[in-house]
Amino acid sequence: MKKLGPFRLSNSAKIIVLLLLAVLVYALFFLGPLLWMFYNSFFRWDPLRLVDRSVVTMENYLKVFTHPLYQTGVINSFIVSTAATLLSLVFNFPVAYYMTKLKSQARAITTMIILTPMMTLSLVTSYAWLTLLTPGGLVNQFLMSIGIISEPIIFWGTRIGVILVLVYSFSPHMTLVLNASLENIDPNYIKAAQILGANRFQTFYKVILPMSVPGIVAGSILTFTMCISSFLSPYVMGGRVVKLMAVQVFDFISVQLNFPLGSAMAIVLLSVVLLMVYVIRSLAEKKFRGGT
Amino acid sequence: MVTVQLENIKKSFTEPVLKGLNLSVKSEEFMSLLGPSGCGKTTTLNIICGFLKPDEGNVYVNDVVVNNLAPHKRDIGLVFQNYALFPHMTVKGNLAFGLKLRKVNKKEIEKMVQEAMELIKLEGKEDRYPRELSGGQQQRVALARALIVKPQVLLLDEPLSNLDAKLRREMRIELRRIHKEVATTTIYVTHDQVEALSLSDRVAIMHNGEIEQIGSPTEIYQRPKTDFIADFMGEQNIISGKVASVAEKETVVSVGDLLIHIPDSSLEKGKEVHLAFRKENVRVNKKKLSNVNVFKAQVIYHAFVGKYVQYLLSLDNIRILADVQVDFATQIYKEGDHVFVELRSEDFWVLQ
Repeated sequence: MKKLGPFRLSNSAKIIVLLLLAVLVYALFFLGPLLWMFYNSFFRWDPLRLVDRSVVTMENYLKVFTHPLYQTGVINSFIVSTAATLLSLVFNFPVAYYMTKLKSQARAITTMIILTPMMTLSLVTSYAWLTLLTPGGLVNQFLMSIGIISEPIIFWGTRIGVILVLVYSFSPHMTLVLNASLENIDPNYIKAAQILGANRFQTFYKVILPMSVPGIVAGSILTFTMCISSFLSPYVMGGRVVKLMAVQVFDFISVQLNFPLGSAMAIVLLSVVLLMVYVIRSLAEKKFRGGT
Repeated sequence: MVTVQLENIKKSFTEPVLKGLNLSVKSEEFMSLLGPSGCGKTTTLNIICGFLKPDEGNVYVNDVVVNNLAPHKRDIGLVFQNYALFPHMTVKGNLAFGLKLRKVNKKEIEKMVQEAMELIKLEGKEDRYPRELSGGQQQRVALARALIVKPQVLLLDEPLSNLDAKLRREMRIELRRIHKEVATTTIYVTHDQVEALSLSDRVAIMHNGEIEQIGSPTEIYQRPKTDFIADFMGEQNIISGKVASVAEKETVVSVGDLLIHIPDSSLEKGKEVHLAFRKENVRVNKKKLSNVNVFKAQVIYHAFVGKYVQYLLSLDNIRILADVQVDFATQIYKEGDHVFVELRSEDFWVLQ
């Protein structure tokens, strides 16, 4: 056995110590509050003490799932986030793909442009979008002038509006994750597909797309998670008209100080996210086995 | 019959890479494009495949100009240095890829995949993913994937350079066997002279965007035409001199005070020439055994390498290398020893 001095640690011991620190921080500041919230979600709200811990109850969860207002919140959140994720994927995949073909300088500029939604306060961009999307705003004027629509689309207080603003807000994340994964595809795979007889479409569908599945999965999970937990932009765009979980959680906790119900709803939100992560991953696995 | 023909191909990026390249590869021939990195061989390959368009010149495949044909319509097989097997498909998926695109029916695909697996001796590994195979096995799958669609031409881009020395030797033999079996016209791009010599029917040496010499492996090895090729094909002895006299069967070249007799009679008197001779053709003796092409020399350096002894010798002011075969009875000369160097006149050739 190697003798160790009083303050000397072996390498593996060092790793364990360092890891313990990280685990401790996570446990204390992340897992702790989460468990506390989970714990609180099983009690009743009390106007004076806020949480009445005398009775353990499931009624908060029951309320979330049975009360039409909160039911709508869960369903809307799911629909809006899924739609925003899919739109973001469809919209950003070509962007990410063509970015891989740019030379370094053009790529740097494109990256800057793509990052703009992240550079400004989301409150500001949301209000900017609000002005653009009013019935007499630029977007409606444009759509009407080219004859796609005859009457202005109402964006404020509708799911479409919320979806649009979410797609805009989280496009940078999707694009960058997709780009990183597309960047990793060796151009020889594309050459190989072409020389074996695949045209552009076939090359894309049979080689590029399946090989970018890890990026699609990562980007979708990230975007979905950010969309469903996003509060500020959906609140500005949807007001309280579009019922969304994140907005409702904010209302319960910050406005009504109803911690138990807010906690229950937050736990439901977290469950939806975890469920979605599982669904996306297993879908990807099924469709493209070994696609890494 | 000519399968692939390149006619006056020019291509520039920031600098000219190909400067009027001409090459014709006969049907069923195994042709190597040999040259150092940066000589334009990869560009040539990309032009044949259609990944690059030549600035000038024509590419013919079976007498048809294919300049404007997209890669997927060219009917060419290509094997990459890093194999580029699709990682999301099994071996079978990789092999069937080209066949499916050609709308071959399922039963036929099944049969062709089996045949291909037999050809590359990997039966039973159809359902493996590429990452579950060794480098050599991946290499063979890549070869089979290119060949299974029965292309008019097979192009190989440095296919063995990612393998270790032993595997490379084995794969050379495999490649030769497979080429014999399928008889597909093959263009093999490499910077490794041993690969080029041992595999090819003909070797084309590329240098600075042009083909400098084209010929059988023995021609290329024994009679490299230029200084560059002589140097590239292994260290040679190159000496420069002046033609002193020309007779019907014999020309004498003076190199300093030395007079060298060579059989070439196509030279003009007074012309400056570069003479080359192989180091293994130099004979080193203690005594003067002949009168023609025998020169006094001194050993500057010697190294025993097992099969032979390497000498660095000084003839007047000229330094030459000699590889002399040795056995237990051969005398090995030491630094400073005076010896006689003997060469046959046919061991010399004139470089352009």
